[in-house]
Amino acid sequence: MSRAVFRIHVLCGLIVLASLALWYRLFDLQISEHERWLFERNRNIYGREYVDARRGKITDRENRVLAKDELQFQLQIQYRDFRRQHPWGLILHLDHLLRQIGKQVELEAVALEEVKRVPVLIAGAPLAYEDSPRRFEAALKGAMRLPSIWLRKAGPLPSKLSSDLRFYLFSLLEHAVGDKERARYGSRLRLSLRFSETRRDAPIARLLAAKITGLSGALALQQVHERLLVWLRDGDRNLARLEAILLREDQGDRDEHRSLYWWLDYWDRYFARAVDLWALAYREYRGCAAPGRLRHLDLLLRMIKASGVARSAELAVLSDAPALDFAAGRAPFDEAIGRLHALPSWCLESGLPPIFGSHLRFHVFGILQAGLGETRFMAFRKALRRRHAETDSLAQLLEKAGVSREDFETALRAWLQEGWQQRKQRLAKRNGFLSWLEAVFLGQPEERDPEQLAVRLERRYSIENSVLPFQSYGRSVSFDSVVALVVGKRQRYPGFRVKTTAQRVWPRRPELSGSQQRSRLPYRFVGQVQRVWAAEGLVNPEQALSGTTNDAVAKLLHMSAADFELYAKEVENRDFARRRESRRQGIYGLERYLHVDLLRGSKGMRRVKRDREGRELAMPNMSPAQVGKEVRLTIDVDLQDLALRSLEEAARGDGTQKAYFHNDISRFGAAALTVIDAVTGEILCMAWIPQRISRPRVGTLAREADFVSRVHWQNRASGLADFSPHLGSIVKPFMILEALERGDVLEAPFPVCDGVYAYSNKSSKPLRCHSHAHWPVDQMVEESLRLSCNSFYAELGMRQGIAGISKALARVGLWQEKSDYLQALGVQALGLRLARPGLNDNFANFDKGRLGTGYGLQAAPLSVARAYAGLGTGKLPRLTLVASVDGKDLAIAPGTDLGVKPEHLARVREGLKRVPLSGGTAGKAGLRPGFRVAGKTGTAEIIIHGLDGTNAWFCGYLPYGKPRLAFCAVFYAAEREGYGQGGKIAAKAVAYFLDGMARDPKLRRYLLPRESGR
Amino acid sequence: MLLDGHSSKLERLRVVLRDFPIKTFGLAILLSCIGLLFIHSVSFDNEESFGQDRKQALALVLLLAFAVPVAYLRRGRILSAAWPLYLLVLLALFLLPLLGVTINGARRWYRITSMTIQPAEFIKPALVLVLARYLRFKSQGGLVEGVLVPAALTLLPMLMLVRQPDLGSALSLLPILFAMCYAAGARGRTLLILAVLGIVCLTLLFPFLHDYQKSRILVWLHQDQMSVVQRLGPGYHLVQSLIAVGSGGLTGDGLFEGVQNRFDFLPYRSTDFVFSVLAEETGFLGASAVLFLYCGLAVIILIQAASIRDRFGRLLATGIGVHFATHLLIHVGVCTGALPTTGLPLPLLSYGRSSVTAAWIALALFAHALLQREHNLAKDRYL
Repeated sequence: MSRAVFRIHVLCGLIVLASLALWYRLFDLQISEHERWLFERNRNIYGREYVDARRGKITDRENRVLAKDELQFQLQIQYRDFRRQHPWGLILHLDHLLRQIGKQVELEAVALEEVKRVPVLIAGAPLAYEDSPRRFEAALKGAMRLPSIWLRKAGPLPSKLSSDLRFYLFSLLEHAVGDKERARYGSRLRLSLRFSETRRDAPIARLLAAKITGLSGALALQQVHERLLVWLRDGDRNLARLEAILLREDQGDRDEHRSLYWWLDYWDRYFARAVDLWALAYREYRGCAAPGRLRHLDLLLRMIKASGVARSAELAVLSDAPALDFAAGRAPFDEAIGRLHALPSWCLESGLPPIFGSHLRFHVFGILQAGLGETRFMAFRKALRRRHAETDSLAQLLEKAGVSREDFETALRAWLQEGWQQRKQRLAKRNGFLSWLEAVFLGQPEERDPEQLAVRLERRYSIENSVLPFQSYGRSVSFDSVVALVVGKRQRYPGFRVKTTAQRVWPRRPELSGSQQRSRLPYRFVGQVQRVWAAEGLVNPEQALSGTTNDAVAKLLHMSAADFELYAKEVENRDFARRRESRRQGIYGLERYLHVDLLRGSKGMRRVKRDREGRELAMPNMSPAQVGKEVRLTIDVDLQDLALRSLEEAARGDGTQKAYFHNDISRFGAAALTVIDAVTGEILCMAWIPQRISRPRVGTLAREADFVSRVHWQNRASGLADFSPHLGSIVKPFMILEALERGDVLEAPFPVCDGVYAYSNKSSKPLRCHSHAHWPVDQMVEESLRLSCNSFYAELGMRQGIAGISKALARVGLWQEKSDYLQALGVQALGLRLARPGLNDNFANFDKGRLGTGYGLQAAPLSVARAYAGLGTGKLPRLTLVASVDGKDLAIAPGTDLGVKPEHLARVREGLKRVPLSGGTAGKAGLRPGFRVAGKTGTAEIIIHGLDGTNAWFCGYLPYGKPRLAFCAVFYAAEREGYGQGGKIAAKAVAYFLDGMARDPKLRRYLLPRESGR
Repeated sequence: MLLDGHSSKLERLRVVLRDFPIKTFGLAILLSCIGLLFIHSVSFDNEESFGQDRKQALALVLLLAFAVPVAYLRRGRILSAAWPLYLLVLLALFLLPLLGVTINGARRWYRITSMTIQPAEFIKPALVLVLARYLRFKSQGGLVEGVLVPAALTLLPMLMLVRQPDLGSALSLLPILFAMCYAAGARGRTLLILAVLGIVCLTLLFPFLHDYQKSRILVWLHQDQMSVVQRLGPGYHLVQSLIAVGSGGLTGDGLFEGVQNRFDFLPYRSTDFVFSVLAEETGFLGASAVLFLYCGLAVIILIQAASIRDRFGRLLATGIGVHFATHLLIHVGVCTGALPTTGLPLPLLSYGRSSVTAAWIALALFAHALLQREHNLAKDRYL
């Protein structure tokens, strides 16, 4: 065999060997690892889609729908697509680019020469959509006159800018020549640029026009310009058509008629700011600027700690220090160096998850390399490879590499101080990018010092919402109007799409939002539903660490360790992006409190087969969504509406205008009127004003007024710092009932109230009794209630002591000794501001006196109404808000017997009967005797914002004898003089309410004797 | 005995076809048909690649008709065409940055009406031809003549290919260079040292690679620890190809039923990842069969090259055999994750008229080398 033949045979052998190796690899993949790759393939093609369940419907007791889900179509704008495909978007982006180039031109000598050749530059204020189309034309004209050399890769502009400029300008021009010709002309345009057929100062238009039209000179320029304008105006018309659709959908809501443009404009401005601040190739900056790298390292360490990875506690020493503050000068950098020294070596090896470890190594090594120089850095890498304890700090490792701590710190400081300048010069040779970057960051040359840089960096980091969100903006439209968009006309409307969603609607919003005033928000009683993202505000940590979205690092730092852990697990899952789905959640009122148990239903799941683009090809299986339960409330919408109107009418008082909280003259804080069925405890209405909250203090109070839990409404008007919503005299019937039961009230010598009797201690305001005539001893109970004698009840309180007071209140559900009273009672909250721990009767006499007149006691209107229902019927009902679920009536719990002697109860009732009559405290409220109302007023004097105020109450039941309804009206924090008395506004609200019921045939039935059942 | 007219024609045809490499061509046609089948599988219901099967079939018929006459050209013509052809392709490569069209960020093609031509494919047979011509008298060539000059001839187009960028094609020229130098008689130790130096140089050049090239290599090195971002970014091709190959199992999903293929997950599947489609649809059995058929093609060419006595023909056939083997190893290596991802079609199987044309030119040259060889009179029983 000759040598040549032998060599060819050797080659043959090598080829066969290599083929066998590949064959083995095939065997490994297809046979040994088949299951693994099959699993991977299934993950590729199978996906899960969760289907929102339709929320349950809420109806009132007459089955009138208060809230329901409806299928809706949303027209959404995808800003990024719009920017890159719509003519307007393209022009606007071009405009921003040109303005950036303007900055560049001022700094770069070469480019300065260029710009002198250009007669017209685009200048002035940013473009806004409403300026269309004149401003667009101007922008286009300016762009066409730019020198063509700016588009070349090796031109005077930084490559990133010229690349962007090429993209947007070519997109514009290629659109202008039409779809068919686009590819052909695109190539020719690029070709002509490459050869630079014309002079350096030839405007872009002339160069391109020759390629498009085959003409030259001014005629070609004009033709190109006209064609582009036609295309631009066509885009304008399409947008106008879209706007017309939206306007048709939104007739009557004139405030929003510009919203589409508003959003686009907003995004533009946002984009412009982001371009200035963020699109600066952060990675490049981070690599070359010492402060940038240290800053990133700092964030990284804090993030590692937040992640709760194994042994991260050891990093506490590094990350517990406050964040580096660039604005504070160089001291934080020194601190950072110290912290760097303490970094244990395991962090740089395999002690951290790869996601953190690699980034940490990148930054630490980068800093060391820059600070130590190449030779000593390599010595350090060697030391790291040698045997060492994993807890050795970086400083110890450096010493092993022959670098003393002092040397290192000196070198690093030098790097911090001088590195910027050196590296800037080095990079400036490569391209002009850094100069431009520096100019944008630092402004004028005289400002270019490290401190200034630090200030600007800090500002940049602290900008909120700094990532371009590119969120979509959606508005609901009808199906008919969007069909045209969905079917086949997407090219005309780039960036727009239609999404189908389930929308919560509240058909009876006007009735329940107060008078005829149409509220934009759903009324707070039924509540509101909002779409909540499962991973709100979170981004992929890997992206965050990659340095492209560094603000996200800051966001992640605010996550709790548990959240982060959960999130990291999510990221591990490949379906992460698909799983970031939103869910709808009730956020106020009943929508919130019935959300979990009744309304939300359960999500459905579809297992779908998808191709690479995410298009569904098949649905192997699915589990349908479970619709939420239908809830029928005990509320009557008409009653609720009437209650709201009655409150408003009463609030106007003697005709004084502007009694509302949101006007300049605020005469009361908040008001409520609740009405329940006195026998069954069903809540018939629970209205309060104001509906909308604009002032913080009052808003707090109003929010406290609609606390809804499960099927019971609880009002917890407590905990306010500036005043207490005392109950006042409305507790007196319960006090006297207890005194009657104890039998020690009337017979014992009682101080005679002469109208001036007062007692006080040093620190408290005296309790003054209004002058009134003395009553016969046998009428003491009835008359004391009619006249609401403070002296009498203060004395009563002192005699009964805490045990007696608490027993009196507990009987009607207004006292709960346990701290978790909300849970225990399920109905009512009672706060006792004067209560001592353990309630061991450690009260001063004065305190007991105040308790006896209702001061220091707090309760919700609804529970007060319930207590009066107890007085009226002898049984304390259980409050009920949900009448039926899915058509099945819920059982009414029987009332609790008060356990008092009937004759005592009768005397109290007799007293309550006299209150609304002439001479009683509510005698001037205009309550018609025909309604047979029994009730009690209360006017608790309070101080609010340093001014005199009252809580004005009127509570009771009707008709006496056989009560049907129990009610409670209250005006919190009302103006005291001539306005805020229980016998005035509160009783008037009830009077208006009862009159309204009597006038309305549909509501009159509530005043008639009860029929059987509900 | 005088032959009658009919018999003489047949006899002449038999004599003419006696040395024609029918087995090699048959194998190549078989592989082309297999390729057509899987190109059809990719394109029959895909909008982007629709019609590729028909175009490929038409090109195949035309090229067969072209290859046979080329094989019968006189040796002198082929020899004299070597340098002009090489320089012509070199010029085409040189002008690409100026006249070529950019597709997927690379400028590798000329556009003529609706057709694109990729000069990188033609440089391979042209290089083989010119190296064979140059090395035919260098059996005792030293370092300069036997290695460095051929290396310069190879590095010139390589640099142009790297600039496109087309790293895969550029690197595929190196095995041809080494194999032909080795077959021509260069010292093995010299070649070995050069190969080691080449590897070191390539490693040192790593920082100067494009970002996407670097990330592809890094992803390949850590393919078991790929993050989500990497799987969807630089590692996408690799992962999808591995899924396609691995999920094929023993017998595959069945013809036209490959899920990665049908559902569009596998990118460039009619060209750079055609073997992955084949492995997914026919499984380990089918993939092994094609692998060995293709390997057999290269080995048969090399064995037949060994039987050629004249140096030009032998070197030409050797270069062509190694050209096919290199493409097979790189292409299958990429598809199975044994090599970093790079776009290199598999001649005869992959879609691409430039690629298939270059392949049939190479086969025609091989047939020429075989047909125009100096016969061994003893073996041919003349002595």
